[in-house]
Amino acid sequence: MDRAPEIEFEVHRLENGLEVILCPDRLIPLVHVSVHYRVGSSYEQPGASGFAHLFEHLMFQGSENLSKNEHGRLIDEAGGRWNATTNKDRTNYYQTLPSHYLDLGLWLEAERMRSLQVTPENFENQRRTVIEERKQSYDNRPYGRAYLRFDELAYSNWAYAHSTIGEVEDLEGARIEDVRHFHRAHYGPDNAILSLCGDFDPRGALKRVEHYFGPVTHRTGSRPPRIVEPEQREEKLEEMDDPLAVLPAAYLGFHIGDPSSPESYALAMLALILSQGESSRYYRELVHKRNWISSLSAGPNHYKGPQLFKISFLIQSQADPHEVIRAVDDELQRAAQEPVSEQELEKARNQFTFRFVSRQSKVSRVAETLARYSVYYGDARIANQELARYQSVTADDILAAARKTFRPRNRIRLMVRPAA
Amino acid sequence: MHQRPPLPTSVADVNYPDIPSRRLSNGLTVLVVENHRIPRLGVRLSVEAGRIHNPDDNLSLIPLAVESLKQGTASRDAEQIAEQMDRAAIQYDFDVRVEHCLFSMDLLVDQAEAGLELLSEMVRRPAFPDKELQKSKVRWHSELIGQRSMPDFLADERLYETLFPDHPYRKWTMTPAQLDAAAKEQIEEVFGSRFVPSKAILLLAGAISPNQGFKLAERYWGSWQGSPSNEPSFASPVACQGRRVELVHRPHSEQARLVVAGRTFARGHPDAHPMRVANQVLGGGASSRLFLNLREARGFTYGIYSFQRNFRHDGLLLAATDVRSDVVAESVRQIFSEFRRLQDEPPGSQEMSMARSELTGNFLFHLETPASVGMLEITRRLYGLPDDYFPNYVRQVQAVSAAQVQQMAQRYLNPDQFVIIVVGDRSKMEASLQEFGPLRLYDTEGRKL
Repeated sequence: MDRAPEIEFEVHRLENGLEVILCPDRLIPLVHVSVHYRVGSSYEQPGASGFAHLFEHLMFQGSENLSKNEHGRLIDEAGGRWNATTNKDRTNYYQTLPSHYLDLGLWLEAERMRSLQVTPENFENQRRTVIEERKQSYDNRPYGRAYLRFDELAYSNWAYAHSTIGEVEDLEGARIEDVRHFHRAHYGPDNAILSLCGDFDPRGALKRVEHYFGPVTHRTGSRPPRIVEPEQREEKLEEMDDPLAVLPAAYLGFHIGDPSSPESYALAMLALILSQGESSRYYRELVHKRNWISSLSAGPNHYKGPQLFKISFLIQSQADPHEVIRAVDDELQRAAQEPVSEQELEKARNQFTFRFVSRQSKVSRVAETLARYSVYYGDARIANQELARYQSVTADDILAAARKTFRPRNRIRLMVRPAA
Repeated sequence: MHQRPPLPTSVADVNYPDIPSRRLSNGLTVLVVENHRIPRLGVRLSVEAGRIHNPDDNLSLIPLAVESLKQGTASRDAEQIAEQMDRAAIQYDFDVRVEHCLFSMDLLVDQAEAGLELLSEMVRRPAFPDKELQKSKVRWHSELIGQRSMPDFLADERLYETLFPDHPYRKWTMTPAQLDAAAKEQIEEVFGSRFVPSKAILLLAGAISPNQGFKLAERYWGSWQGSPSNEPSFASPVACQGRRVELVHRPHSEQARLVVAGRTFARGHPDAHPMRVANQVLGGGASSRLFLNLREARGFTYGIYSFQRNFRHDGLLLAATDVRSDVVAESVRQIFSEFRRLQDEPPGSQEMSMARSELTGNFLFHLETPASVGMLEITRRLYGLPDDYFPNYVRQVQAVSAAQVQQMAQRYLNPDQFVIIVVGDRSKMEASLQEFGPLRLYDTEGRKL
């Protein structure tokens, strides 16, 4: 591709501090309305794990002018789609609507930003729902607990070590009195990014945004937690049993810098070379040639602060888990000793170009991508610079990052033993 | 502050796009959806070779045939194919579904020729190398083991075997013994008989004009040869045999997977649109009755939805959820009470309008990417739906009345004709499930206990 198309958009800031991203795309009469709040589970206090995510559920439980679940119902009546997600660093709420319902989406988001109201009964109901969500997504799934355990083992800072879904006992202990406080502390325009993409005229849309969000004036004063991961001095190693699993699994991790660090870019390129596609190093050697592993994934874990380069995979029943893990690590050591080939690098560049273009395939993806760059990199405009940044990574950059990263004392290993 | 939500501004017209098509002289149907929003192209090749077209005694043959295409052709081996795909940054996926298989490729449009050339060679000149076949078998053995740890897989397996005991639709998954037994000659035979141009549809969707698309199709697929063997005839499945419970004992389960399912009708049935609206009211989304009852009122589950799956010869409706082990029986009662409520009185106008809007909106989302529009057209042709089926879809859905929805519930939501499938720890639920009918117990290997 000679020149990949850039995303055309505007960034504004309202007087109340709300960041507004407007990306008109008039091909189909849809509009995506997304609000990102800079709050996630890393903002929680010990003993209150899972609260940020529980709170996300509560945002659908009513406000001054809306009853329980009315938010979703109004979107459904408009023929739209809606949902929300919470991770370590942010919580996002979104709806995709037929574009003549743009005002509805804006009104709804402004309404709950301004005046959330949760009854004790609805609080209790969502607490139970979230506990079932935890079981469905983690406790009743093979490797679910290992997934949660990995961050606990890897991180010594509690903010990233504890899970976003939370401990059941903490969820049981959550109090409705904390809801109002959490809303005041984090859910205001000065801590939010509104991202719109779709069928609208930007000048008109900005006026509508000012109309609905302008009157929301409370200031949160929310500050991101200072997350520092002290240097790991010796390898962390753990084995755990999973009675629901039938195959062994392994998780390897290495501490790396935040997403803006040069090594994060270099290692993301390396991750493609190692694991993207059937011609990747791991696939060729460990899947195709030796039939040792399956369900492989590798790459930076995409946290806003100190990240991990993480590799996870299932181990085939006929293979020796220790031998497999050694082979996986050997590939990392190789990457730390010899530069990747120009051919491999070219392939990874093409894959990034494809990924960059594909992000523009739907209005929802564009709006979410732009907001994510604002949260994680401090500026939505960086979304358009990413391609050049990845394209400029050299084999030497990868070699240097691999050397710095793939040292035994920087390593975390978690092995999962299946039921006998 | 506004007290009530703002009203919508004027409605934008949604036009169903023209989808030019052409039939090549070898019988291959080619569709082009032109859309230049981004320089990307989606390629889909649908071939009428689905799970049900496997011979009765071996369900691994078509999946192995499809997998083999990546593993070697007359002029490329597996490594060369993988290298060229990845070099061109082609995302690809080959999927065997119930009644067809689908080859999907997404790529930057400047790689269109490379992608089409590769796919065409894989489908037209496969080599079925034995060495690779053996490797696939070893790999899949582990997958067959692994999927038995997943509650949703175990429930689906029971679902199809229970609802379609005498029909190819029961064919859900291969066994390890079938995988071992699959011989190269059998794979070649099933491939030769079903993977032929007259049973295939090629879609090119994205930054390409119809003219360019047809030219490329002719260049890379015009010489594809092969004629189909006799089409197997499938009888209509016999009716379901009353209500019963199928319990899969999965030790250490923290929750129960619950699926309640009954038979409905084939694709293109006159009840399709009314039933779609009925399903939407019942369990189609997070504002539907099942969700509001089991999650929002009772907190039994993280989510519950109902779905329809309609095939060429029959169909089913199912409600599926994961619930606390101690409330499985109560969940079944609540699901059935929602069936009865829909039978007893027609939904109100607000609920009807919401269901119709949700379906209309979902349809709009299908029109957002050229590949998803094209998939609608592939579906239409695969199931022999009328030309105006999708162009008229929104109007048809909007015309469904509350009385029709009630009628659908009376016709298809009879709790006495539904099977109840549960995957969980038997000690926590077996006794409580007896009230719903005869109970059969299985282990996670699918063996009766």
